[in-house]
Formats: sequence, C-alpha cells, structure tokens
Amino acid sequence: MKKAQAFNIMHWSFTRIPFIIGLIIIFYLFFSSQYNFALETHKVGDYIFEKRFLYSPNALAYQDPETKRVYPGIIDMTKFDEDNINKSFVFEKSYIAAKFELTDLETGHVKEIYVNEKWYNRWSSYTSFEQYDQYILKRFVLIKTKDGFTKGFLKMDLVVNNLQGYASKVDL
Amino acid sequence: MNLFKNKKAEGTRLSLWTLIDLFVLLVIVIAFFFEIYTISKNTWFEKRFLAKDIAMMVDTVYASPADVVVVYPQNTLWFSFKFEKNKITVFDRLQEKKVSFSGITQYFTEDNKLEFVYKDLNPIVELNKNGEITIRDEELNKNMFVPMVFKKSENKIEPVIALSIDNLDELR
Repeated sequence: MKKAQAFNIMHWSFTRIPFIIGLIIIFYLFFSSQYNFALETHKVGDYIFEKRFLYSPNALAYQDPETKRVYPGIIDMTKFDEDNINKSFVFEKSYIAAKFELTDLETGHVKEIYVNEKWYNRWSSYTSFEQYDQYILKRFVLIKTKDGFTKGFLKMDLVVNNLQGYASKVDL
Repeated sequence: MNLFKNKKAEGTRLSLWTLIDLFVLLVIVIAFFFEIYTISKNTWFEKRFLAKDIAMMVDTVYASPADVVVVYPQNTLWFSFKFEKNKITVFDRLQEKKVSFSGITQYFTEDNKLEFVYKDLNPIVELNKNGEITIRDEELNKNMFVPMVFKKSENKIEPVIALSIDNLDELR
C-alpha cells in the first residue's frame, strides 16, 4: 500500500467521517433544542402545583364544612397527612414530588410530610441538572386544628421532573 | 509528511477531495431543508403544544377552590382529543373515523377525590353552503362555536365541546 493511499484511509477514518457524523448530530440537537425550548414550561408547572396544593380543597386548604367555602391560606391539619395527600393524587407517570414542612409558631411543633416520596428522594439529588426543577416556597399560614386556629409557617419544597410526563408519540 | 508536494497528481487529488466535500455539504444542506419542510408540513409541534397545554390546563382546573367553567383559549379545530386515566392524547382530526393517526400523549396529575370524565372529543369541521366553516359535535348534532371547555363542579371535571360562548349556561 502506498503512503498516499494509507493517508486517504486514515484521513477518512479519523477526520472526515467523524466530522460528518458530528455535523449530523449537531443538526439533530439543534432541531430538538428548538422544539424543547419552544415548549419549555418549567416555571409554569411549578407554579400550578404550588397553587394546587394550597388552593384545592382536596389537598391542604381548609374548607368550611357548613358553607363549603375554601380558604387557601389556611392549612387543615386533618388534611396535612402523608396518606391523605398521597391517596388524593394519581402519581402514575406524574412529574411532581414534594416535601412539606409545617411549623406551628405557637408550640414550635414541626410536622413533615412527603408527596410521592420515592421519587422525591430520587429526583431531589438531580436538581442541579436542567431537566429537574426545584422550587422552594416559604410562607406564613394559619393552621386549622380541632381547637381552632394557630399561626404557622409552611415550607414547600417542590421537585419537578421535566422529562417525566413529557409528550410522547403513540400510534393507534 | 511529503504528501502535499507540488506535483500535478496531488493537485488532481485535492480537486477530487474538494468535490467530495462539496457533495457531502450538498447532502447535508438538502437534509436540512428537507427537515424544515417536514416540520412545516406536519402537525407534530401543534399536537405536542396542545397536549402539554391542555394537561397543564387540567392541572390548573384541579387547583380551583370553587366550581369553574374554563373556555380553552386555543384553536383546536383541526385536532381530536382523547381523555383517559391521567393522560390526554391529541390526534390529527379523525376523518370519518376510518384512519388511525399518530397522536401525542401528555400526562397530568389526576385527583382521586374528583371524578374525571374520560371521553373523546371529535369536533367536526364542515363548510356550509356559503363556504363558511361550521363546527359540529356529532353526539349532540349541534353546531359548535368554541371547541373546548373544562367544567369543574363539586364532584367531577369534564372536558366538553362548548355549544357557544353565549350559551355557556347550558353546560352548568
């Protein structure tokens, strides 16, 4: 084999073919990123779930049994229960997990509950990656107990997996 | 390396390389424009957008502390929607129910304490005698004005095709 022929083979194997493959990959990633960027909903998804936990009578909000009026700023202690919350939502394929920490400011008692705990523990380690969001909300609330109302402080730590629940193609 | 000495043969080989490079470049440019053409022609982006947006809309309606009727403010005329447990799938509008199409699925987080009414929404778009577009719901056999509405009552959430903005009371 001549030197020039060997050079041609080497040149194609190590320079040109990898370059072409690289170029095609770059094009593919460019198109994918354009799609994903246009459909990015990171902050909106976090915001919706924050409101859902605080506003929905089936989550944490206190609902007056007589008038059925819901009070979003008031946490019902009977609902602030891990079993209750986890049974309320269908977490199959869900992209949300959370940890709530409710402090009773008058007694100093702290109660912690997890929502979708298995996935919270897993996803919370990945929040430095772009695909995972962590959203921490701290706010003063009122706590409704059997005896009445007390002042409290709620810390909500939401973890959103933006890969889970993403649109996927299905064929009928 | 003595490969690029100033010889006639080397000059010929370099021209050949240039031609090959140009050919590869041409293939990539054609692939690039073909991809753009494909994207502009198909409805994949719209379906994905609608699936994601409607899933978030359902999550938002769940967050409402009161009964609500939300008119979905997007153009959904050209698509069919399938609501199933925890997910929505958007299809290209089914033509006479003969052909199956690829759809895009997005998951939302269902609430176990509220019934979600699973259903297929297939608005029918027709041209009337005057060439104007009318939308009909085949179940109700009525002309439609607004394609989709989410109705949340105390016990359930139901996606429906609205009769018209002026007749929303019929949905309540």
